[in-house]
Amino acid sequence: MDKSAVSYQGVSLSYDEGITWALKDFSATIPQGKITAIIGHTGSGKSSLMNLTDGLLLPTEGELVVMGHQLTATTKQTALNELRHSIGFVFQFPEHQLFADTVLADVMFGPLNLGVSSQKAKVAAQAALSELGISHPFYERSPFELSGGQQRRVAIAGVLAMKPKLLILDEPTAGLDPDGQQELLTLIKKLKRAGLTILLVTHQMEQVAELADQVLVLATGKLVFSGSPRELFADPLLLAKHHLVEPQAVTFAHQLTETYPELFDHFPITLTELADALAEKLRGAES
Amino acid sequence: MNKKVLFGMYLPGTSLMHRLDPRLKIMGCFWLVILVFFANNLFTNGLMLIALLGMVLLSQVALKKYWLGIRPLMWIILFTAVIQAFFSSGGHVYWQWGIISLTSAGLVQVGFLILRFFIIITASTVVTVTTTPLAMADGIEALMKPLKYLKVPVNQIAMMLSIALRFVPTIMDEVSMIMNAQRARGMDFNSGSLLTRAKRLVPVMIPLFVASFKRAEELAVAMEARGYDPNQPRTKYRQLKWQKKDTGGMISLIVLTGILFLLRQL
Repeated sequence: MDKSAVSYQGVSLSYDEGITWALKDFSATIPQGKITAIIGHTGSGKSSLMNLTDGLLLPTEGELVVMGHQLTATTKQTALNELRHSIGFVFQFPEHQLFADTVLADVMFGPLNLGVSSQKAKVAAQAALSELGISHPFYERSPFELSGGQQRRVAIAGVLAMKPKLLILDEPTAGLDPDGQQELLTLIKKLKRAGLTILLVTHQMEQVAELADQVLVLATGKLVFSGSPRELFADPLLLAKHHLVEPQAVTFAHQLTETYPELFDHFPITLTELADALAEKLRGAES
Repeated sequence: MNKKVLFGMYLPGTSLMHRLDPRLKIMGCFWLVILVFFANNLFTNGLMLIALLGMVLLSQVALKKYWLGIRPLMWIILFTAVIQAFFSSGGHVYWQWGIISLTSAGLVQVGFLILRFFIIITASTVVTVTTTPLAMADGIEALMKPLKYLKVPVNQIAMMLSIALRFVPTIMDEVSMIMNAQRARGMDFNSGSLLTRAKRLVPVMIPLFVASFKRAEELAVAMEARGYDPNQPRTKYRQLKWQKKDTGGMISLIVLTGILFLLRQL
């Protein structure tokens, strides 16, 4: 039985006192230790949902339970600070939050805010930095001297150094080169293996297919789909309705099944799965 | 998110107020602010309120939005009103303690003061809510034209103004985004002494400055790449055309002024 890390119960959010709704009657659960992908178009309410989950916003109506903390419209600020101790939130373009004189000081900022001693904060910061491949010579450099990709990694290290149990990633790969993207995806898998619950906001369906255990699709503030990536990509109508583009591997597999309806026992959604399935079929044909 | 602050924010629409010439709206707003100080009795203030209500209704923006715009300034108004109430003299004295006293004349003045604040804020909100920042900059530029003869670089000032206006919402969004990011990193903006709170602005201000400089540089490059030269005479894509409804608006203002000065005599 999966325990839920976050559960949303009829959450609604309005920025203008009920004139328009950024989120309307949203209910879902985020399983613990899994990767949940959140997809939807700009303005569909993804960012609002993430801000709610981190207690940066409070719901106008309804309630959510995040890591055992209950949040409603009247939750006190002090309770929220406590909640944020167990959540790491990597914003879109997190390099925009860098401010300190040195890389190390910037990464230590989070742990220090949690009231950790500076010695422990330093250890945590170094561990997080090495996890992201930022080596010792960089520690005393100014974060503003680094390249964009390095800044991104320093910023992510700044969040990981707080040792969160729930990690929210808002389009972490946006603007990175393919290598950087791949490294980041590998890191996300590694973090999942370490037991973190991960919420991943993304526009790239390839990432959804490759990483996610669960997908939530949002459209104009409402939940329109919840299930596994395989279920999502098996439903071309739903994808078309919400203008979502399936991964290339799925398109290719669909085209193959038009000619060979019985081709796949297990429908592939990632490139690796497609290649494996095809290789197996071809081998079967030879013998 | 600072979406609640309406003061200085445009709301799209097609109402009569939206379509009026920005020059008329800016000058009209100035004129109303001056008129407010000529309103000396109940009738004149009532007249101003009716005129204001007319403008608000013509703007076809929900009254609730105006209220959301005024509310953040409520404390300033109340503070000023309280000071005014206790430090003005004249008329019947209700209560006195040293130099502090509460008098009937003082209370009447407070009433007028609150009313004036209310009218001025709402009138300028009508203008900012119905005028795009660009139209506003165009309007100001047009109104500054005479200064060209004094060798004032009106074009450059207008360009700076429109760029500044254009980036106000961007920078506000950015402030809230950076604050959220630092809050997510365990920063607590809501407790501690004034000094510690001020110190906490460092992690917000530095990224903000970095991003602003970066953006300014990118904008400058983009403008130069498209051949912008500040010293060349500029043509305009959006021409301001004075129309019949603008003349109508001006006449209404003149009529309003006339009635106001008549009512002053009562």
